[in-house]
Amino acid sequence: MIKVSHLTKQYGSITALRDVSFAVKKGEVVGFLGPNGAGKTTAMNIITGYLSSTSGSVSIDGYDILEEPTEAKKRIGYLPEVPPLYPDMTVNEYLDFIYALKGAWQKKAAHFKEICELTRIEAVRGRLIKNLSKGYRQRVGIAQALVGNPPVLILDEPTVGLDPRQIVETRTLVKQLGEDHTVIFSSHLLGEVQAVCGRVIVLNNGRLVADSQSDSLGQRLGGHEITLKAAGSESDVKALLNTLKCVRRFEKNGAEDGEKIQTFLVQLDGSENAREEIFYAFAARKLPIVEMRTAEYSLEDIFLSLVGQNPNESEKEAASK
Amino acid sequence: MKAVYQRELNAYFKSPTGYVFCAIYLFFSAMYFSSVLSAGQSSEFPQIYYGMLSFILLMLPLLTMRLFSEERKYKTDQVLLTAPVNLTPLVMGKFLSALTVYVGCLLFTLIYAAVFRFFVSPSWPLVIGNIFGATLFGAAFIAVGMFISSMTESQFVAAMGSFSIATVFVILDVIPLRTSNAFIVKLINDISFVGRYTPFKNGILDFSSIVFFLSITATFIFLTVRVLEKRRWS
Repeated sequence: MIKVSHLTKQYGSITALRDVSFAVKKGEVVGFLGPNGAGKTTAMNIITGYLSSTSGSVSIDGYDILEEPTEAKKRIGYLPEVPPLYPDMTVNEYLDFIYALKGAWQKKAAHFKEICELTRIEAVRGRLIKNLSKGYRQRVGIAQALVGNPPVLILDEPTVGLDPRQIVETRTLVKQLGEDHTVIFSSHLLGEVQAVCGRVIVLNNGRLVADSQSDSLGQRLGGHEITLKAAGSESDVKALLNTLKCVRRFEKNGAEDGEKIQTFLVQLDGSENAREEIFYAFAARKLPIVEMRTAEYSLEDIFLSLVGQNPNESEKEAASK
Repeated sequence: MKAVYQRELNAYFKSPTGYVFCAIYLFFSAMYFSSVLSAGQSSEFPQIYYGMLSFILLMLPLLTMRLFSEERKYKTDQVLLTAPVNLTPLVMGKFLSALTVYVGCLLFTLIYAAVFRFFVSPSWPLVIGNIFGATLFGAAFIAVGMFISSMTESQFVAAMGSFSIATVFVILDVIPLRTSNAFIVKLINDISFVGRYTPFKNGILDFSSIVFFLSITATFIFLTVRVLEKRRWS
């Protein structure tokens, strides 16, 4: 549905995007993840035709955004970072305007009713946009994107600045929209992307650093590390771990029950029977394993390891730009 | 185009801008009208339009300053530029909305003509010719103002920009009065908006003046489209 190939965008000497390529299939909900300034908004602006890329191409449903902009844009509903609202209009007038601007063909009254119910703005339809709260404005922004029922929705940080309840509501809405739309949704909150999207594209410094299913991203890093708790003295456990071939490295991560149970973080070499090997080795030495589990990684950890630096450094780098 | 046109036209009368513009226009044109009335000659009637020209130049920035600056400030240009519409109709919609407000004011002067009729019968071709000329005159400067508005986010800068250009033209018109150098007088009358209007005042439909105003209008509408297009690429 969306095909982005070798997208590069330069603003003067600053490169906002470098050679970013990905494709989104029909019906997918994709999360754009990255710290502020990673190029998410730039990428979205290029996909929707607001900006042009320095090189590379974007096609929506087979229509190139530069060659056949009208056909491509007909298929996109876009919620920019700042909802594009005219403060001097009422919600109804605004939706009317968008309807006429997009040349939508749906029956107006029924179409608006559906959109307003979905985004829960029915109560404010007669009010001036300048008098609406931030949460309502954001929802009017989403409603605007839905006018004309485009199959592709591009939502740029739709939950920023909302209160916790609105955030949950918006996530639910995006999930719901994902059932019959192709959605790209950007956020710098990792948990949010995990909650809403089936697939995550991670951008940092304008580069695509990861593109995978949001759960497999966790496995990719977490799969080879385990937390091991065994009853026995520290030296015995250490000695045993040192002899095991499948163990790449390990470190002590505490002790329980007055030094009787040792907790170790163990990095495995990835071989298939590693955990069995450990089990039998410990059993043979009469060091009973009381717990063994794969370490769980949050997207935060994964993200930082993908980006390959600690957050302070990346902030510094961003600031120096 | 229709959607943008209607929205812009509504926006003029939702904010004080439209009313202020009309009020100032009607105030000054009524002053000219009263002086025409006291002169009591039908040939004086075009003075209502001709005398207003400098005011119009200075007032039109009121209408044009917000056209694109406001869109950029509120980031609403994103919805316009990502809508499945070409840029030219968008720009035309905005241009026509400002022109409509201006022409609406011009048409008010027909009331003066109707009042005038109680005393002396006005020369209708002259009145209509002047309204036509004033429309072309305004259209050209609206296009210039819109072009300036498309280059900045700040309405104030847009207004000051078009205001300065207007001032230059107003000052330019003073020069021919102070010099007898035939070449300079001709040059200034050829490039000056007011100079180009003079044939209309005298009841002449001057082809070169019509072409002058229309080509300025077209050029600056085209340039506005290019500015919007260029921003996408920078």
